[in-house]
Amino acid sequence: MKKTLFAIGSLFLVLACNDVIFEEELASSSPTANFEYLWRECDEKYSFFEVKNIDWDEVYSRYRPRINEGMSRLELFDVLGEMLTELRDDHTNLISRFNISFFGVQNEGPDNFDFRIITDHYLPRDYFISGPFIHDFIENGEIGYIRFGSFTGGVSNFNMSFILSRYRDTQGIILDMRENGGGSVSDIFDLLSHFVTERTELYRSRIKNGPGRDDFSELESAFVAPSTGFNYTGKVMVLVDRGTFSAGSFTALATKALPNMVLMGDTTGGGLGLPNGGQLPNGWTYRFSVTQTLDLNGNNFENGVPPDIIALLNREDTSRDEVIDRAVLEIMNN
Amino acid sequence: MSLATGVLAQQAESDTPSTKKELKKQARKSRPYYIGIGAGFNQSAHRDFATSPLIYEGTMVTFHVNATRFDEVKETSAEFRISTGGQSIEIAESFTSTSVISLFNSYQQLFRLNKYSNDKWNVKVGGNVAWGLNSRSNPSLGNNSFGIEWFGTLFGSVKVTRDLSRKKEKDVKFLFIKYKLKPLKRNLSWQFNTGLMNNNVRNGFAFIDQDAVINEPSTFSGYQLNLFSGFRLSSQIDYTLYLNTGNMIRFSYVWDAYRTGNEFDKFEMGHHMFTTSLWFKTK
Repeated sequence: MKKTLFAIGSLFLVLACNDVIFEEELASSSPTANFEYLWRECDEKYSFFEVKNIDWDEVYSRYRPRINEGMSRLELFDVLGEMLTELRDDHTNLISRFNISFFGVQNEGPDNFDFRIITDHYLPRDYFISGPFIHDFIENGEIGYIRFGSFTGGVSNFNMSFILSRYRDTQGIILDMRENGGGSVSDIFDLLSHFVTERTELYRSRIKNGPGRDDFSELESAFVAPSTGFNYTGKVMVLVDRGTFSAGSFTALATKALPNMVLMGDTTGGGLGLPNGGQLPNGWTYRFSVTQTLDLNGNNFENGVPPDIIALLNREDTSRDEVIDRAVLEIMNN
Repeated sequence: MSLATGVLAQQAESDTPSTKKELKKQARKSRPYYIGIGAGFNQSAHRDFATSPLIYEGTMVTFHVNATRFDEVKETSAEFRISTGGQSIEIAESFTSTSVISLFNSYQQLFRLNKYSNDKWNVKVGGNVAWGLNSRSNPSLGNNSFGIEWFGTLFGSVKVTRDLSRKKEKDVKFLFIKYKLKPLKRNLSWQFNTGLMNNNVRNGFAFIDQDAVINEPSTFSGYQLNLFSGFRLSSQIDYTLYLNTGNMIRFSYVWDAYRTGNEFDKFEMGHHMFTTSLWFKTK
């Protein structure tokens, strides 16, 4: 009997062991292991190699020789971070407790925004702040200026209806999204729902569904329906620049499908891929884009959504914002 | 004569299917029925290759409620269990944690193997259907911070119970202290389950979905059903003491571990649970 009990106990101990289920431990500080892991994750899941004409195998052959087991964690971070910046995508970062790598797409174009010029020369001192929006009348009350600096998730039916109904009798509105680096995606639709009168298709998106370069899901359309609040149907000049990124670029792309909106300024920074999130064997985390978004004509503007009207700031003259001036001209001339 | 005829008629009647059904029904009704509630700790670990090659480990609290009807011949039982807590990984100077909620439901029926059962030993075999899900939140993974997966398993099960009851009063002497041990009903059981059909519903290849950017928020968009995927093992040791009231106290150790197949990024999870439960005899 004791033998039987012993046999049962032994069997239980053998079976009740997670090693039966779990594969080998992969936690590792090895620079080689972490390099290989990160390179492979990008290789299988990053969504813009073709669009950006990036030869990822060639990147491997350039960076792999820089990895050795004797390198410090700072040296490893530099190499891995530099490898990720080859993707030219600010939805791509390597994140450790001591540093975060980034591309810095806003530096690919001229600085096209200075809010101090606007507060000094366009807006009254007691301008309105409604949620994430700064706004007031400009041009003797003929135009409503709305500064939208970040997609904080705070766009609401209330503040949009309040703002737009305030400017309902103006000649037009300027929606300034320059240097808007993005944020909450839901804000895109909460914002645009106040500029349509019927359910409208904005753009199409697809997601990686396999390790091959062309392994994507079917394109799915993004629609926006009119809000239940006040909806503005007048002319809207949407100002963008290289610092307009991610949700800012999605919004810029969507304006191509909205006839009452005109995109003005500089090409946006792109960021039209939804970033994922992951972790390396040494505990550092990373992210990179895994979707593609195309306009209704099938154009992929990941390298930047081009404006309908190019307008750049003259940094020599700090008393005028030439982009706003051009937008005013467009509104007043129509 | 008329009496003899009546007995024969009765025997013939007892062989009819309807009477067999009636006998089964009576046997089922005569089986004791227990409701159990328990709590304990769950030392668990998981790894989701879709987001990390690292194994997250931690101690969670676990609660369960059970209903069971059993005797030496048959056992039918159902369980709902929830475990919640944190798991983490610390490597080099990186520390990352994730909060986890694991839900588990099961229903099983076991039948005695007469060949291997006697007064002391009871061996039952049968099946167990289990389903549950994990909800995980790891903010350091950005847009991939939230993970949820569902598992459904058809187990083949074997349960061995050893009667350890003390039938008679026993005199015991410990050093110079003499005392009597009263009769006590108790047993030790071990159950082993192996997954015969392992199914799961998991995220798609990219883990994240694109619902947010197409303005159609949905929790399970992009999820995929994977049939006969991976494998699962579990086992349980119960030490059960019967009280004079007919109720039971049970001390349990449960091991449950599973992994998905090779569709793409695998998922692995293991639980070691130590629980104490009270079982109330309702009939």
